Amino acid sequence: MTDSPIQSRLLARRAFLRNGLLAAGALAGTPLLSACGTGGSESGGGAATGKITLGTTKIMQFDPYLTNTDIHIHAFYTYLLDYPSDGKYEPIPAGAEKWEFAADRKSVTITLREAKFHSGAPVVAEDVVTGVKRAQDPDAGFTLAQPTAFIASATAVDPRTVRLTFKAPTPEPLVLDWMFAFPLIPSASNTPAKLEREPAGSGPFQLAEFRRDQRLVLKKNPDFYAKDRPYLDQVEYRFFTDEDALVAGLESGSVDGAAYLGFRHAERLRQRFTLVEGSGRMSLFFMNATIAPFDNKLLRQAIARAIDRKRILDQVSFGIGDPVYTAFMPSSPAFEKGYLDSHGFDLDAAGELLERSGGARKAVAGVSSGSPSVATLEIIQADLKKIGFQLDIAPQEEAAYLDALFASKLQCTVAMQPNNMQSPSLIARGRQMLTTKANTTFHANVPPAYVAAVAAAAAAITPEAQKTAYAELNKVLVDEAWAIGISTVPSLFALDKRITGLVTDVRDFVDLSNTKG
Amino acid sequence: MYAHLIRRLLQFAVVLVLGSIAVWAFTFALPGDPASVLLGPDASPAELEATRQRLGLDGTVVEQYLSWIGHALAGDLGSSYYSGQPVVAELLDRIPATVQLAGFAMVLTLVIAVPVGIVVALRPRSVAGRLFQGYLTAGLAVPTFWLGLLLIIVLAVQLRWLPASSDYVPFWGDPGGALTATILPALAIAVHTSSVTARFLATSLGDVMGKDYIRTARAKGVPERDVIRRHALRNASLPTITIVGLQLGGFLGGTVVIEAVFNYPGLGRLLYTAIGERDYALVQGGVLFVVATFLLLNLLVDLGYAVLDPRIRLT
Repeated sequence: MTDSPIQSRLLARRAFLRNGLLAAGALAGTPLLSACGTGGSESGGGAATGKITLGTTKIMQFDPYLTNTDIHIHAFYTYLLDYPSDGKYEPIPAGAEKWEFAADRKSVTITLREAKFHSGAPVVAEDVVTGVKRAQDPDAGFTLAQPTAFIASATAVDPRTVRLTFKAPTPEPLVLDWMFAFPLIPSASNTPAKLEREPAGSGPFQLAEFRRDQRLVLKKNPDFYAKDRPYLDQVEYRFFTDEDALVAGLESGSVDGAAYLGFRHAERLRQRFTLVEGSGRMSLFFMNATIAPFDNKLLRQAIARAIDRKRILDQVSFGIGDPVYTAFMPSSPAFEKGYLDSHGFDLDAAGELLERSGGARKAVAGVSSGSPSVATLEIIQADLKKIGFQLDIAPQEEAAYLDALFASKLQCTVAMQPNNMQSPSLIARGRQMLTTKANTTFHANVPPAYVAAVAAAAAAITPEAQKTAYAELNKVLVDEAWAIGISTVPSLFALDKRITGLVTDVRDFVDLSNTKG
Repeated sequence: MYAHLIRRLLQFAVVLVLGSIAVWAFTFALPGDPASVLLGPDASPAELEATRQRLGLDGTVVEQYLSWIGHALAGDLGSSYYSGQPVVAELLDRIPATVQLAGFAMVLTLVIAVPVGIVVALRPRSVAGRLFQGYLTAGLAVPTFWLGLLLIIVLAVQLRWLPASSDYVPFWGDPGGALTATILPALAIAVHTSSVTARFLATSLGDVMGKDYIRTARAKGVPERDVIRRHALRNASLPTITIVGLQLGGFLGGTVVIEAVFNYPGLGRLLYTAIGERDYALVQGGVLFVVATFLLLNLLVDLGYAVLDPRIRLT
């Protein structure tokens, strides 16, 4: 029988639908069969030594003069010196082989180690001079501008020797902290535009691949100055947008480790993985003194007494971390434990100060939504309510929150502050803590006593002078009460048990140079 | 037929332009500064200003839109603020992953939905019919992300059969690897979409089975199997095709949550990240692509109607 053209088309359509369904069934069935047969198949991770895969939710930036993302920067760059990861401030030669202070403490002569950048070019004194010039310009190197303020000039004495001349006699700890924070970068690459997407250092690892929000692959730098390190041939950071997905990836073996995890996962992961606590940062309650009601110092002091650090540590940080009263880590020489008692949680004292302040009894706290700071603020909110102060919490998406924070639009917030290392004057690095009109808490009205105390701490040479200066700085910080310390917030890593040697330095930057996997 | 096609293409162009304006307006209404996100919290005000100028963010919103649409018409969607790569290249990098996931999810959807829909429509009181009705209710009620997490916990974390996080493995290069990497997110999506599709199919098939021409076919002695295949299913397929087309469009731009749960590097996750980073150029280009794809699929569905039902061609 011969089909008409219409029948042929209908038959062809039927055949197409029938074949399509059959093909669809086969395609769908294959993965099910495949899934049943493959057993423990996993992507990434694996047990191969020499390569590890770490998951993270952090965003990457490559310019060490701008970044405070800390997961990879120590892998790309060598700093002039290192501190041990245990929080002690004993300098270890790194990019600098040795250094010698002038007797009058008005200069230091640094001898660079013989080393090569990833490009193959040698590390020379001129690179340090270029780097110092960039660091001195607040518009080009914001992170390093304040710590570099004590340097008058840098001069290349010879290809491997550089001399830094100070504006005034400067204490050794401040210079050592600066050397610890100063990355070696080739002169030709040391601009924000060039470093924005391509790191150019001499650190233990080189950039092998970077795929936006997917992966960053580091490969061993064969010319790293320490000949036997790094031990790993390759490190892959895999980016996750969701922390729960990251933990699931870790538990299923898709990644060998998870970096900078939330504390809520710690207990569950403790049995199966090695948990590593990094030095971390500090959580602080900031009040904006340029906006009512926190332009009232007595009110700020009242709020400071209503912060229950122990409860926050127990309930938000799951017992991980230590209480702080302002932005000094317990390892800082300026840390005075007694302030935790004399200016600690006391609702009666807070209530009394609130009465005396005579100020408004209502404020709004901005906060990044989804962060542990929300839970911290809820505890503070509940305690303030008991003394008759209404604190409303307004969570915002992170980009919007940062925008409002830097524009001084928030009345108060809970935010992080980095470690100030062994130089207490470095407390003035953060935007809320600057001694200039760029201070987002005070603008042009930074308390003169604070400016003077920071300057004194940066100039105290002898141990006696340092003791006096640090005590005065503490007194001013507690009296002005705009940056109320809550607790340290250590960084948390969960690693496959075969991984050893992963640490963070005192800035909380991951150091992989001694890591084995 | 041609008039129908031209009419639909004109509608397509108008909606695309209106969509681009809406996307632009919504993106700029978002609080947050792209330069601040790009440079990080430690950047100075001068650096931020210079970056805004470099990104072309110093003009008015209208100026920026006109500049962007002018370039877009020439095929240039600009460069990502964050990576510096052309937006087209960024999208082309992710589209294959999304298409693969969408393809797998749609195949699974149809494989589940067609038999389930038929059984529910034709044998609603049988054991299988009751079980499938339970599946439809559960599939619609269970949130996709929750099911995704459940699949991860059971199949990836506990049993370790499949990876919890998925890389994109091209199907043509490594079919086994591609299936292994994609099956979990595809299944998490398909359970919901198959429930919707099966419900549509069951309802329309139930309606069709009561029509006169079905009774006529039966009266003529056509075997029941052929009555269902040749007469009922074809006529019941039009609303199902509509919903399948819409779902496919949704897959290509709307699997953000599943891509985040499974860490799958698709277009949805790229757009999610771009919104967080205020990468306006990428958000604009990506959403424009999604809108265009959705419209295109709608157009194809309409044309598919015309192919399946000649009456539509003639109207």
